[in-house]
Amino acid sequence: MNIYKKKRMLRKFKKENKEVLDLDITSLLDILVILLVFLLKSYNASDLKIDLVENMSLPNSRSTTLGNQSIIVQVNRNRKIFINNKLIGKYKDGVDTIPILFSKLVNSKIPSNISDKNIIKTKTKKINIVLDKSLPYKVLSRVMHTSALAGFPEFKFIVQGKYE
Amino acid sequence: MNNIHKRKKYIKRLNLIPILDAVFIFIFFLLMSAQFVDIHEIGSDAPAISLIESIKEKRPPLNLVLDINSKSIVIKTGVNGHIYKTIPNISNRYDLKSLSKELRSIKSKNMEEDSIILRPKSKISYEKIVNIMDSVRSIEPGIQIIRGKDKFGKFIKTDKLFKQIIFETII
Repeated sequence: MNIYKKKRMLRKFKKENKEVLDLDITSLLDILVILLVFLLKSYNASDLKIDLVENMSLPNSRSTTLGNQSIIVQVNRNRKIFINNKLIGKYKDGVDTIPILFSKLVNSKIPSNISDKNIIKTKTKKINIVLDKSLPYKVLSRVMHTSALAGFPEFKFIVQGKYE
Repeated sequence: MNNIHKRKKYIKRLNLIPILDAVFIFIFFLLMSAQFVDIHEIGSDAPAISLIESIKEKRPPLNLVLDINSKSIVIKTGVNGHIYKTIPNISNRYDLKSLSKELRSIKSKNMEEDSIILRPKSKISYEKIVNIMDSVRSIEPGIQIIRGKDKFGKFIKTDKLFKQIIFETII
């Protein structure tokens, strides 16, 4: 067999053996559809994004009202106070306002992307209060009192939805 | 000689790649916006004095107050704080069904009243206060809606009780 014949046969062999690998993605699509359904179920239409701090258990509630984005004050089981997820100090028993909370709220900055003055006026009055369910009313009372004096008289208590 | 050429039978298959692309992108979008803890809110405002011209009401204000202590919930009405009903605390649990029943009765006679003042003692836990707020704001699912007359004598119906919750001694 001469060399040209050999080369021709090799080329023919390569041509005939070119098979396109067919990937069966039906099962992958199955998984994705199920995942899609699950995520659609847990879709959240509210613009409020809360990262719960450590040692925090929210009380259950029948409320179905969705929250709106504004300043978030969290007080966990260990009585640590957080504003927008930043630890500012620990709650101490007292009579009047919580001084660290008051000073931070008064100095809290208005987000730079809000330009409409009317929006600024309404948005800065609201405050989202996230408290651990085991805390006594006196903690809630002082947080509300401090917030109201700092210019946030519209309280929104953040709770966990309960399905009956 | 007949050469029977056997033609390869190509099975036509649906191209799923574009669908897969779309589903993938959709999944990432939903993953970013998913919330696995169901978060809701209960609104309450600090008591404020508003300057509104009000027509002189023939009826005295309801002034509904709930005094919450560790042993009971006392429902008070009227400017003088007349005790309407006392709801007991049984085995460390408030009888919220009775509370809801009494509030429904009050609401049916005062359909235009929307606000309620809560006065808990300092040691009452936040969880119990939230449960009470739930009972105070709306009727439980499965309970008949409330029917009554408004101040103009018109029949109205509602499933809301007292949505405007005010905590006393905030300011």
